[in-house]
Amino acid sequence: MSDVSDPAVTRRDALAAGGATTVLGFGFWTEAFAADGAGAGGTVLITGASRGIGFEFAKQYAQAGWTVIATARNPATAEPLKALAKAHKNIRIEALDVTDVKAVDALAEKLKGTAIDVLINNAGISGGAQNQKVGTIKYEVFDDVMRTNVMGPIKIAEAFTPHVAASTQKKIVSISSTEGSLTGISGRPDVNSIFYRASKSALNMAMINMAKALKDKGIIVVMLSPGLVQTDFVGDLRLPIMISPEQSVAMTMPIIARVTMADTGKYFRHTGELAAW
Amino acid sequence: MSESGSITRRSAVAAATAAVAAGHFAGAARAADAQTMLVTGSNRGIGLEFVKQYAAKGWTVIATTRSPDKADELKKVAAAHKNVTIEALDVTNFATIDALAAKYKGKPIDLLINNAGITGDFRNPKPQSFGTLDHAEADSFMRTNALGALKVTEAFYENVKLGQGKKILAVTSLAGSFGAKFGGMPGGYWYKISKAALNAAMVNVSMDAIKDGIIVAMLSPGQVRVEKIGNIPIPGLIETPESISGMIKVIENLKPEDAGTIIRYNGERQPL
Repeated sequence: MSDVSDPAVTRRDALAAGGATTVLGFGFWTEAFAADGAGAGGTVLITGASRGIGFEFAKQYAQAGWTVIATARNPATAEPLKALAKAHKNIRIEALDVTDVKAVDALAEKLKGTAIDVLINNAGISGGAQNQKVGTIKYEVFDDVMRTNVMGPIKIAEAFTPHVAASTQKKIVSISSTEGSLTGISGRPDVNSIFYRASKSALNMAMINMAKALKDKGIIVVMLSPGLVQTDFVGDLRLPIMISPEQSVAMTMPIIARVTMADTGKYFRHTGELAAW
Repeated sequence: MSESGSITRRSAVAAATAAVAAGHFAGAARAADAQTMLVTGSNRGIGLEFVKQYAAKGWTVIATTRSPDKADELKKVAAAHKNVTIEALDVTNFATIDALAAKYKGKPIDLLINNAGITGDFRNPKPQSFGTLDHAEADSFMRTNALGALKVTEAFYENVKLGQGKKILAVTSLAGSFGAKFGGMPGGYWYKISKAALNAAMVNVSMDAIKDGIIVAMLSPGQVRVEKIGNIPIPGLIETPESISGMIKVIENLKPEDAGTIIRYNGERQPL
């Protein structure tokens, strides 16, 4: 990684240096940076915004002055998101279960005429490591993992294509994982996530095809691996390379801001490098 | 989830080579000897041709199909070859998989070929094209093409462990490959994503299986003129027997370092 003009790298180096936090306080600094990295303002729709990475996207895009449509399965119980929406008038919460095809169509209909610059397919589930150990796989979780992580994002992209096509920036972003990299998982049999891995690989396959299908409409489709983020996903796992949702989003927002049609169909790591398929 | 800790597979392969040698190379030395194979989805197309060719080689063939009653061609092959046994198996019905595995408990299977799969209707691309996707069809593709192979592999794993050949294959497709230049085919979404999911699952299983000396790999049959294609003119189409005899050669030559890879019918490595 030698390209220091890469905003993601600059950001990472700044994070590694950590100096800014002592001067400005982490929150203020992040806010200033996020505003910087978000690119031109616009409207963003984020699925799975009740917690983790999705919540952080809602927060940082709102802080950057974007109009945020934050979806969650159960807005009633999404307390942090509700508090965030109270503090930021530019956040609008919508109920959405991404596995409910009719609900996706209904929301697309409700938002008809609203231009969406950036659509972030973030909602996803791990399926639980305890269910995915080869030899004692719990097959009943398969459908849920596939519907949420693969068919959900496909359906949402289909339903919101007119909204994205009507916008200025025209970007569809799917949050993937390096666990979905077929070459990347080689040599690591002990992570019990076979369905999760299969779902992210399937998601990537759908997205590269979608990138081709939407090129004529001027829509840019990219995949992002958020890094190893400390969320509910990883449970009690703590590793030195882990980053917070706040850090992850602050690193990926500049990537979203800078991708162009030349990048459609590409799969980026949070560091800005391309991820392996 | 995990971003690091990527050990090279080479070390795992080296460790497993000794374990494989006993079965694999001994198997090669006695290649003429009869072995046992199980192939799913054997009522037609690629599966049926595997049955024909392995039967002709004198192997004991367990040919599974959803509806043996309707598998007329397969029944003819079984009538002509005493070494072919037809078994009913729906790869999406786990009770039938477990029941068949129970029936064969303790019996070695040298080669397991996960072939059963669905493609959808080539002449009606609409349910699988972006913008007109039929989401009601998605589960069925995922369950048949990805999950079915995984469940069958798990259910018959002990049989393969007992076998000499110690090989598990899954029939995948160029359409599910990230590295392949296959931009021409629009649609086929459910098919493509289910094959990508299958590949990921099999790569995952291959890492576990190599510790037991079992080689798990994927086969890419080429664009084969199966019955469903009929006379549709597709450039580069190959005839079924050619594809299958090629894949049988690939299977014979499988080495531990092929675990978790996709190999085409002509022996070329296909990108994942």
